[in-house]
Amino acid sequence: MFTIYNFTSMYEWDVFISHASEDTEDVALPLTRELRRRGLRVWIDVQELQLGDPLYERIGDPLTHSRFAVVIISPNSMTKHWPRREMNTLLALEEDGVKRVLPVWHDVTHSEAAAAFPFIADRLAGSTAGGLPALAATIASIVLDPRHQSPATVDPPPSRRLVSHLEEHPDPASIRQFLQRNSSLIEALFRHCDSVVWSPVFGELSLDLAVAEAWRSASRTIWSLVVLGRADEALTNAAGEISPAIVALTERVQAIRAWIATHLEDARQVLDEIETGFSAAVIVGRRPPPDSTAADVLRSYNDQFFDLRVRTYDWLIDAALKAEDAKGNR
Amino acid sequence: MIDEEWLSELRFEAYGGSRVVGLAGLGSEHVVLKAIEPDGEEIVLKTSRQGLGFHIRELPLYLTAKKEYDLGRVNDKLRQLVGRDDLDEMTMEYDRLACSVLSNLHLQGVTVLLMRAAAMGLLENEMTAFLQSPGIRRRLQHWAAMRAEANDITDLIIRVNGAHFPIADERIELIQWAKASLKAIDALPMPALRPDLLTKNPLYVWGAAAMDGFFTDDELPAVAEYIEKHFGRLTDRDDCKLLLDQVSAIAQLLVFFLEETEVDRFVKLCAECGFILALLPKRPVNLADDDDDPDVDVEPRRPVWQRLRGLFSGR
Repeated sequence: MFTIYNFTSMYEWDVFISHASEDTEDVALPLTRELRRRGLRVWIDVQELQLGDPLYERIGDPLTHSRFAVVIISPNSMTKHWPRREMNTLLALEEDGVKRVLPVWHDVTHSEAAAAFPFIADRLAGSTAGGLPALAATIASIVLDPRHQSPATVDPPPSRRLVSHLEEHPDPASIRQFLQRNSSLIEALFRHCDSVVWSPVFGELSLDLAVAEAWRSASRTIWSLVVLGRADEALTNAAGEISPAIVALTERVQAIRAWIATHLEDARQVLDEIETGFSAAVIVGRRPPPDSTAADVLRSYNDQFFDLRVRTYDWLIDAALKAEDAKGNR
Repeated sequence: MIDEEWLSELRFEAYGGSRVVGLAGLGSEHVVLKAIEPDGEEIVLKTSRQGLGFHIRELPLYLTAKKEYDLGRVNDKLRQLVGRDDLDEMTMEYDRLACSVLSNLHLQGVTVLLMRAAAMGLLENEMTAFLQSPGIRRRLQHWAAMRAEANDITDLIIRVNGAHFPIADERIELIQWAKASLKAIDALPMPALRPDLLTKNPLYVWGAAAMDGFFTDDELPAVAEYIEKHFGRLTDRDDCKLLLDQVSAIAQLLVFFLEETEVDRFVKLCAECGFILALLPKRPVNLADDDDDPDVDVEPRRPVWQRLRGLFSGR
């Protein structure tokens, strides 16, 4: 089970995304992804609210329990009724003097936005004009300012602690030690985790961890082997090819597979009942934008393998966020 | 390896009209997907996890209402599988064949199995070769190397070899049987069929895909062209006879050991590549002694989708 953590912050979410449904695909979801990769807990409603919907029943709770609300002001949102109501709610919540609304301009000029939302004309968290990663970095710097008492800073959940660790200590040995201390992250990653073996060694080859799932009805134990790479590793080299460091990591996995195939009994002294058809994951680097060249290169590289996947650390962060969301009883 | 994340993200219209909306569970035998019927009812769809599509992350025709895979991509992935010794575990038909043969082997032992095959006058060479194939060896090696001590009382009796051809035995007995079988198989002469080279035969690989729901008849010429481009014209190769004998043997074993098989798709693919297979017609075969457990040779129907209601655990 995933460890339950207690928020001492009065908020459950770091950021609430307020947006018009027309801006979901182009702005709201990509921005959410960028914020989540920084370990922030983000609430977003991807379904359009209809006039007459019980606003507070539907989203009132996340709205009031989010430290900040990023309001995407666009030609679409300016013509909608409910973003205005949402904005009014947020501004009302600011009456205690705590600033919560972070307006973001998207395809609008300052004067257009100011005309539509005069109360926030003097505020600007950012604009999508400079790219969503830069915008997300700006928002994250505000949210992660300790003075603002966001959940991510007051009592950071495992996902946020992981992101901080990856940024400060990107080397695999340090990451392994972090994961050992925070085993709930591994439990979040693997659906069924009956046991974990750290740093198993096969002959002269080693890996970072192995996770077992017992299939009692079939008298089998299915192992997943994990090799960690550097969190700051670039996925591709200057020529746009997969990074040699990643190739080396995958070759290590294949060497371990070959060793196990030829030393099955010895291997089973290390990992009980392991079979040669185990699955393996190399975790390295950070996730590139979905439509980038690096993403295509990684996809093509993964297509070469059937029992091995190269993942980024965002895979781990996503799993942790998902588990935390589930524990948050959304 | 089946990529659970890929399965979780699957969204497609399934054969039969329901809409697949995610993964309900992945077990030792089955993949279970969440789906919504056209009338809105939530169901789960259960099918064998041995389907090749699940392993190469492509949706075969038997799962989907319309073709979802890309032929070029599937061909490229299959090329990566040539020479892999564990293809039998990724493929429904090869897995069922291996399980069926091992079930008979467990019942009869190597000598009796071969004698009965020889008495039939057909399967001796094929049978010997298949017993020496990488898939059968690997499965036996896994059982032979099992831990002799049970963890607890529930661990004393073990059940292996899949749901359709289960072998249940005391742990120590099973280990000893697997070791003895390996020894007996090692002592057999290497047949001309060269089982050690079976997985390098392109038709063994593409044949698996053809049987596991890939390639329409219209696509077969393009598949043959791809194989020729990357492996040469098979009928002109020096090892042409070996390639033909190997695929003939596999096809014949499929016919004899499985009550219901997609071997016709295999035969069609081979014909497209210039190899005409002359197979004996399908007929009931019982390699087991009459006094033995009659269930052993009762082959299950080929696994397809099962629609189950009331098990959808919510989105």
